[in-house]
Amino acid sequence: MRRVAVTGVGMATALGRDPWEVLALLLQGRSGVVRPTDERALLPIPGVAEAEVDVRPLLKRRKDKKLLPRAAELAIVAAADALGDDRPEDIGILLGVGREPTDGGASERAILSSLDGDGVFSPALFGAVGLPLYPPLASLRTLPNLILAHVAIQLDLTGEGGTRAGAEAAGLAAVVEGWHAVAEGRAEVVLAGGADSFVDPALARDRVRQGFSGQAPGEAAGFVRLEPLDRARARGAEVLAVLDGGGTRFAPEERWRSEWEGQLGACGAAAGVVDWILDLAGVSSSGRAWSAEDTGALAYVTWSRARV
Amino acid sequence: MRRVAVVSRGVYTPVGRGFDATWAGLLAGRGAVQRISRFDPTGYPVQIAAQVDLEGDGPALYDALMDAVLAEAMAGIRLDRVAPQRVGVFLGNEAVRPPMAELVRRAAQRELPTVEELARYAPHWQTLRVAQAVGALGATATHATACASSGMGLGEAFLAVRRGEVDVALAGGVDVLVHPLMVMGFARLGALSTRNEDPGRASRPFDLDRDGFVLGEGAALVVLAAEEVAAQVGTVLGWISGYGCSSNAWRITDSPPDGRGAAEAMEAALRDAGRGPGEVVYVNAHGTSTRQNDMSEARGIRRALGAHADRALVSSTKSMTAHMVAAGGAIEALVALEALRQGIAPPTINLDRVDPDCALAHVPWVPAPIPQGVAISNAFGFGGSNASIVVEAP
Repeated sequence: MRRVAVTGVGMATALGRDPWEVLALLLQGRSGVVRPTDERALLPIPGVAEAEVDVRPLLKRRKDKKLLPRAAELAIVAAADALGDDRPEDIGILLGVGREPTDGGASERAILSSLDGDGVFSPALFGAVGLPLYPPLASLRTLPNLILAHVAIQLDLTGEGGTRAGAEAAGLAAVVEGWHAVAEGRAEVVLAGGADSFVDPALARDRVRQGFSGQAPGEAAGFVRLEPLDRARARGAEVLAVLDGGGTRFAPEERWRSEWEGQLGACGAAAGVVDWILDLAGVSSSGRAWSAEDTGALAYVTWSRARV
Repeated sequence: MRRVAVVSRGVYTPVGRGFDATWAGLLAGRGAVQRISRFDPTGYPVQIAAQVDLEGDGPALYDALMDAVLAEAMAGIRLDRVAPQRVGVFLGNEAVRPPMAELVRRAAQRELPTVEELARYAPHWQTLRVAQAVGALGATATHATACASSGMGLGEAFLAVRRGEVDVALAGGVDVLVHPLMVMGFARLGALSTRNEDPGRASRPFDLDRDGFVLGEGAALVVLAAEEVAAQVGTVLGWISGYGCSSNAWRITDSPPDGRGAAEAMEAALRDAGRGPGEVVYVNAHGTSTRQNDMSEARGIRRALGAHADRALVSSTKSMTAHMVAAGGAIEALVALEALRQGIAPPTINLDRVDPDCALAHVPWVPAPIPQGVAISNAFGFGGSNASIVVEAP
């Protein structure tokens, strides 16, 4: 088993992209949660926490932007920051994602166009009228692994690839998988992390109606770059930490909430990784980062600097 | 590192209820593609699919499928001989498609799913449901990589047992694609066969006259155990010895024409298994029956196996089951293992004229004997997520 180093971090949050700056702002009490000025202002929420990112400089074709779900925009920016300039062949990417992206209301429009004069759904109308209203790529937008696919395409990541579906534990679970892949020699360099977004007005409204009114809808992506410690040393890379352990388990009794949710909003599958990256930006010499979901999934990693 | 045994399996496909029925149907070349009966497809450009013989719709059908394969897989399994913390669950699923009536009501009345419904529709619902059902408290994971989902779930389960993270792992997946929205969505992509007048001939992987894939549905659950505990838990049916995955990083809807993503997954799996291309005697291909996939996969097999690609038998059982999407990878890995156990490869039906771009050692229409060796099962997902698994007979 090889020792695995963290040699890069990247994040996109409502308080910025530089983990050290974001941590300083958080410790100063700054919040990325702001009152929206659009229709979301009417919602009973503390505010929304939106990340300001411009993904266009990283895209192969500027027109690709229209294909990207919001979480993919965040993920591309954060993954590129974590990756840095050392780009060997077959870099892997393991990503934790949350709720499936929506099809942007395409299916709803198709359904509503297929009601007969009495307001009853007509399968025949659905086939004849609803179908042409459904954009060809709409169904693909809803696939969770499309976020990873977009990152892989834009950054040319052809190695180990996999998407973990879940909620708050999914991002760290992807990190655990990345750690195993590098430690066991199945991959040399892996980007691992999570991405999620709830700030779209329709999603924010839905969350309130579904009972999440106490939370500020947020969004974030967080990635770490993992590689063998020996490789990192050989290329003179800065080693931020060494992974000492990690795992996942079914723990329905556990409850977890992001330490920074009040200032960064609810960030779903990215939350656990973002919290950990902020730990790495701090002064602790070691730690255990973990996150869990109400569904019972739990993921954790243990790390240290002392053994570097 | 430990060897990882397959000690039990449960399968439900359009071809058969249970693994034995499915296997018998595949050997008999029994295709399951028919005109859709779950809903009235009149007016749809695509009116054919392969359905399971279960009533129901939405999450209830997903639950019923998973319950059926769980019951089959757990029959005779002694999980009480392993600590709950040493039992993991690794499924590959997509989100549940709610019943159409529910979607219509919500759209018309602007209703939203409740928090409970959202949880039940999420890809990881079945993972947690299975963990609760068997009392597993070890590692869990849900892989959502479209058509590669359960292949990746099985691969990650294998890795977790091999590295000692758990002693026993349940892996698999479930998917139900015969749903108006799915038919509409994939039809709009132009990915589906429109051979509505001749459904039995619609799914024809690697054939020159193919015109797209056919939607299917099904479920699988595989019980894996470390060699040390396998005999205490169940019966060794065979081994998983390697797993590889890759990203195409090419395009959202297409596969790279040179087959490199597929090849990288197969090469990684063989490397992981410590096996060479010359030891591969059978490939259960992803073989969807789309021009893009079949050509890319065929070239990927050639890249991965080199000259041995002329000898390793290749078949796509999707010609009979149709495309079970998230559930397909695990089911087809079990088919590959059974092919080695029985020494016979199930055929690709409807393969009348092999596309010259897909020239391989195909098994058209009739099962073919295979020599001793190892087999590869491929599962490749939309967006370019690839998984390959190497299996070996006991």
